[in-house]
Amino acid sequence: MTARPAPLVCWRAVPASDLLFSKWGDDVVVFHPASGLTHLVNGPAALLLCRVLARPRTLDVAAQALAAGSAQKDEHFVTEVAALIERLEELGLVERIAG
Amino acid sequence: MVEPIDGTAIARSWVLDALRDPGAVPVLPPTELDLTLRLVRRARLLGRLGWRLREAGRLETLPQVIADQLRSALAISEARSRSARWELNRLAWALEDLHGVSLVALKGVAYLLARTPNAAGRLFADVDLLVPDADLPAVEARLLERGWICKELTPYDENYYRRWTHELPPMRHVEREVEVDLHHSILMRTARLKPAPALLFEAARKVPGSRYMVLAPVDMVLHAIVHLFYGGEMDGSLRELVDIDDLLRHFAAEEPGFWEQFWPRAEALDLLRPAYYGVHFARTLLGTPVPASVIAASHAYKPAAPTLWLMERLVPEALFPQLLDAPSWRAALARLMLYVRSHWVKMPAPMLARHLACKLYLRHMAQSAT
Amino acid sequence: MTAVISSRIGDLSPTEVSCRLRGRGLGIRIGPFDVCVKASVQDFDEPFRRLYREYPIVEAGQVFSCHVSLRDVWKLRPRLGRYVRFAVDGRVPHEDLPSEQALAVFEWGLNLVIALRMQCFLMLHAAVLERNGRALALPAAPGSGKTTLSAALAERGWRLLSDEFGLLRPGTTSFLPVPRPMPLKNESIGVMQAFAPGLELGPIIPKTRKGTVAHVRPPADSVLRQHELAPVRWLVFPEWRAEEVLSLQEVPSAEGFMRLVTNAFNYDMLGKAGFETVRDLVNASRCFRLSYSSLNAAVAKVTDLADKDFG
Repeated sequence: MTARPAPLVCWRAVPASDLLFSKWGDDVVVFHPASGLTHLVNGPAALLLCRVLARPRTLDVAAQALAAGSAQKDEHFVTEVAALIERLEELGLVERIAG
Repeated sequence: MVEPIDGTAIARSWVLDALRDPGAVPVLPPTELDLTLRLVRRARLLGRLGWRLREAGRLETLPQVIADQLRSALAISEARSRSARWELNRLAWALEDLHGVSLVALKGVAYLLARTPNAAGRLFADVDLLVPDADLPAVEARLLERGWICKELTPYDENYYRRWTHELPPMRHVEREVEVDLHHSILMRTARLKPAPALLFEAARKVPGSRYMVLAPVDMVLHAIVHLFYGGEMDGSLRELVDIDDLLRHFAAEEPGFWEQFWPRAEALDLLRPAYYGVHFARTLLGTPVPASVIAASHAYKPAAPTLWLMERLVPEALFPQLLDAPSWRAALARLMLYVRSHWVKMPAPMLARHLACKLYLRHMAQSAT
Repeated sequence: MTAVISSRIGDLSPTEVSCRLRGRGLGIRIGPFDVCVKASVQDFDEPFRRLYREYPIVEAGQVFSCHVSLRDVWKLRPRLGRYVRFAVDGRVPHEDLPSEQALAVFEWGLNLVIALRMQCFLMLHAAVLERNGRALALPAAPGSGKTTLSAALAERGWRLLSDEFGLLRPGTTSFLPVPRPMPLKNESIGVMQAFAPGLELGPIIPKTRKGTVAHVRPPADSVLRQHELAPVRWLVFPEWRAEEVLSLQEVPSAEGFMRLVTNAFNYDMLGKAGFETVRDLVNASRCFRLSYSSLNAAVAKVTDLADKDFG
């Protein structure tokens, strides 16, 4: 994304029932049957897919949820979350919903 | 027992029997069964056979060596089907804000979306989409922005594609292998026949719950026919004729007034001659049931007797799969003649001569370089 | 309807073998595959008969998994001489090669056919051996030394299931044997001859695209028991490097999973079944990374692991 998306844009993950997860310790492997792709995901990505984006959320709310319990979120953190969501969207794991 | 020579009537009849009555295949004598499976595989129809036997609950009862081959063909078919569906999904995502642009799925992906009988066990390859000519630049641009690239071509081929054919050069997404072919018509600009794209778009039908449309039933069949007889390569194209047979049977049953619309629509699309060939060869080679009135009407559109005589000899020779360790000169000649003919109907003679000469030269250069 | 298996290749005289190869074909059972072989290349018959002598014959007139042929052709290019042309069902998948390489061409050709066609299996790019009723898989890229290591393990009492294909039916975690002659390359030939002086090798074939190649005959026992599956227990990812210090390190399951996926021929093709099978394999095994330079030390270390693992 070259610019921050309009605030009312929401993101939603593919329903968890459409994904297969395998967890070993902190490592999560996700299989997406529709695409046939397998992803080794980091903590934040796994949280986005399983929990945070289970219902439509704006970027700010999603970043807030990921930052919860750790350091205060800042603009840089939000940009990183935005990039992660964009990548997940390109992979077809997350979809954009117009506000 | 001497193994029969492939390409003869015997081998052909085994393949046709297998298509007509898949359930009878498992109980064939072993030598016949072995050769039938090899020929069906070569015709790219092994997945179809496997699918039908699996639906009939016969797979588990088959000997391991046979069941494994059929399951393997099914696994490949399912993998390709998934790739095709996912590519459609990603293309829809990439083009999501080009709301007004009609995207009509063609060939394999159309069968997938419309759930026609020939989709089962099929070996899907490329994703073919028909897009209005005026919208092609915008579609191409959006895809390039969102991760698709153009396949690498020689400058000659690129020019050929853009100026003369009904396609952009093929594209694919950087992270995937599936080829995406965007067409603005179903025949080249220079072809003698001119099926008007506007008519195709007008009659196209939306697929429920999808961004995509598919051609109206008669149009879908006519396109399959055009693709077979004017598509260029006829090597082992039995599968395309099987598609036509499947579609004709399916729509005759499901689509009210299908046969009544058939010839008028073929005329409106300037496709009467190919329509004749499609019905004629589906009927005579695969036994497609065609109403007597339709056959009677077809005689008005058949070619001159010498042409028909030649086509009746060339087409079966070229269509059926060959398994010979030594190539059959008859089949090869038949295929060459049909290849040249298919280009002849697509291009004026001087251009054809130049095109074929250029392709031969490029191939020679490529071979000398290795 | 089961294929008729009357005898083994070694029961036929050399003349009979040649006669069948040049005629209607010689049927041979290799693991779950019945292969019909036709060949008209001089350099092929004797090594084939010798290396495959324990394998069961499949009589003609059966349904085969594939039909392969090796044909003798004279050509002008690239150099005037005799070449061998490999074909499967009349299709020629690659260019012709010098006829002295016939045996190697057959072996590689058969690998190609299996990898392209047999999608009813999950196929790992791995050596698989069995000891004490449990399977060790060695998934690795070409050049990592897995063939040499598996040949060595086979010489030290391990049952060979394969040096190249870890074959599983999706939804299971037991490997199917598909034992074949094992191709050693370049220096490994000398290394293995030193390791096992009585080793039986096929012809030494120079100047192939992989260098000098020689094939090790699989142990008779491995062929005789090629219908016996083995449940997985150890996934060991080997890496040979000159002067390397021996180390066998257990690795986390997620790493094992990703390494397996990157060493599978057809993981992507199998979709959900592939994911679930690899997941189950990892859950049923202990995963290790093995670094070594000494073949003796590696064999001892791995054998020790197997003998002491009572889990």
